[in-house]
Amino acid sequence: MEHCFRRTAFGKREEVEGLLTLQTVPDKAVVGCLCAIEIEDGWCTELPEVRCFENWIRKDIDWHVYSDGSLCWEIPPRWTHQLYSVGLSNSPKEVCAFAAAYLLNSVRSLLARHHIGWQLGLVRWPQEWRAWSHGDAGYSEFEKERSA
Amino acid sequence: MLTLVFAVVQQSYDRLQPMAGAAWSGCRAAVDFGQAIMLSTGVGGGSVVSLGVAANRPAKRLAQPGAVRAAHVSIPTELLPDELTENRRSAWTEILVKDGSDAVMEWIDAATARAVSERGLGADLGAVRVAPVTARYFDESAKTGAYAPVRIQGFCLRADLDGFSRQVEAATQAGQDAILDLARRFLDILSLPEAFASKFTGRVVILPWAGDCATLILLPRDPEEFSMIRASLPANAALLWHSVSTADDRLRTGFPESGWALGLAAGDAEEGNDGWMLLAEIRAQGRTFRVAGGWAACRANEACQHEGSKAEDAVISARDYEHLAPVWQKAFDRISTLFFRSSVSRLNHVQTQAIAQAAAATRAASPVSQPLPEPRPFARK
Repeated sequence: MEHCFRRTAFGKREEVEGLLTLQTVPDKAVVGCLCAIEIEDGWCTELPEVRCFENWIRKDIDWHVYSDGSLCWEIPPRWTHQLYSVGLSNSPKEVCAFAAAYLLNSVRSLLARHHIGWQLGLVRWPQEWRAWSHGDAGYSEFEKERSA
Repeated sequence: MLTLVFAVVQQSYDRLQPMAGAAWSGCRAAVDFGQAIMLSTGVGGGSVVSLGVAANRPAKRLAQPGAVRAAHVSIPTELLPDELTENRRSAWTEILVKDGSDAVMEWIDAATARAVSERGLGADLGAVRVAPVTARYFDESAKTGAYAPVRIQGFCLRADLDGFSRQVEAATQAGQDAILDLARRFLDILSLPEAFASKFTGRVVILPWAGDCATLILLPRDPEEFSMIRASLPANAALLWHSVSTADDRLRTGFPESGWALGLAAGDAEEGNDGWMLLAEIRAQGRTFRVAGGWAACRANEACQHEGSKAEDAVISARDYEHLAPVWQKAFDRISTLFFRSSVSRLNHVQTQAIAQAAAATRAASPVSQPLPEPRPFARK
């Protein structure tokens, strides 16, 4: 998070609130998005929760955002699998750095798509933008790809 | 005809001008004479559509900026006696109809003009209250019938079937069978505004057809704000109109030589009253007639009829261009101080390209040797 306003610890979780910058498509302008990231103690297995408060965010499950503004930016087992895999040959500090880059890259991608979706006035998530299927079907897709 | 025009124009000055104050810019009229095809429809509260050159030319004349002066009626010179024309070589003659000259007054039945005025504008206009409403109002009023006078904030979309008048002219020359065939095909396309409304994401108020022109008011759906939708609405509405008009066989093949030219306008706080329009339904002769007034309705009409506009074009006002998202602005070119133009193919291209670019957005560098995974969102059900 580039411009952190607030950092709050609640027992075993911590919340960071601030502006996350991203490059818009297609004009590559830099915009700051007001976001909050909540990280649990067991963040290696628990997907950090990210919420975005910008008014161009479409709170629609098909756009991977719940009604409270929290983003579904990744399927949980892929996060765990990726961090485990990196942890096999890297130090805990490097795993932390990878996890942060992974989270921010995925969140930025989702926000950039919401931003261009709002600019274009898109109602449906375009098929060209890869996403896991909703619910159990998404878990099955992940398992299938992992074992392939 | 002059008597009717005199009655309407005179009454507008006597009764509307005092209420409008500084906003008043005059009342003007245009007329023509000739054959027209009349179709009775239920669109826009109930409407009789007139098709043909005689129905179309006055509308085009009025839409030309500065062509008809305030308080005047514009009439094809060939229809007028010498006493009412100054220059017989001019195609149109403007006649002052408010407190007209003696020559004009001789042609007017003053008693009838007075009677028409009193019957037509007899209501106490000062007692009408005009409330601002949102899209929800129309969901509720759809059950109860006609709309009360209201203020609405949105875009006006005007769609003109380019090249249609030539076909009406050809049909009237060819005879009764050709006229009936043309009328049947035209009746098919009357459903186009409803087909558009069923797919549009916001709320659509359909106004009566004006000849071969459809007029729609596009509103944000509750609780969306107007300021949020104006970044994309003109472009998306244009794409949707063309998509709907080519998706249905009857709509596509009914007039293969014609296509739709679109005009869209809302305006902003600087010019155009920020998209606010007046909407009401006038009851007359056993039917209602839905009318909209305001900068947006006027500018959308001018945009649609802008010189050089052709099928597949979308013309928007310069004010609305300023509020378009940058990605859509690239699809429009300035064509005058007042308007910008794009085409369906350019709008489609811009949309397709932007979606593809977002799909191919580059990944950030990984701090370890393992690359970052491709971003791929999910959702629990």
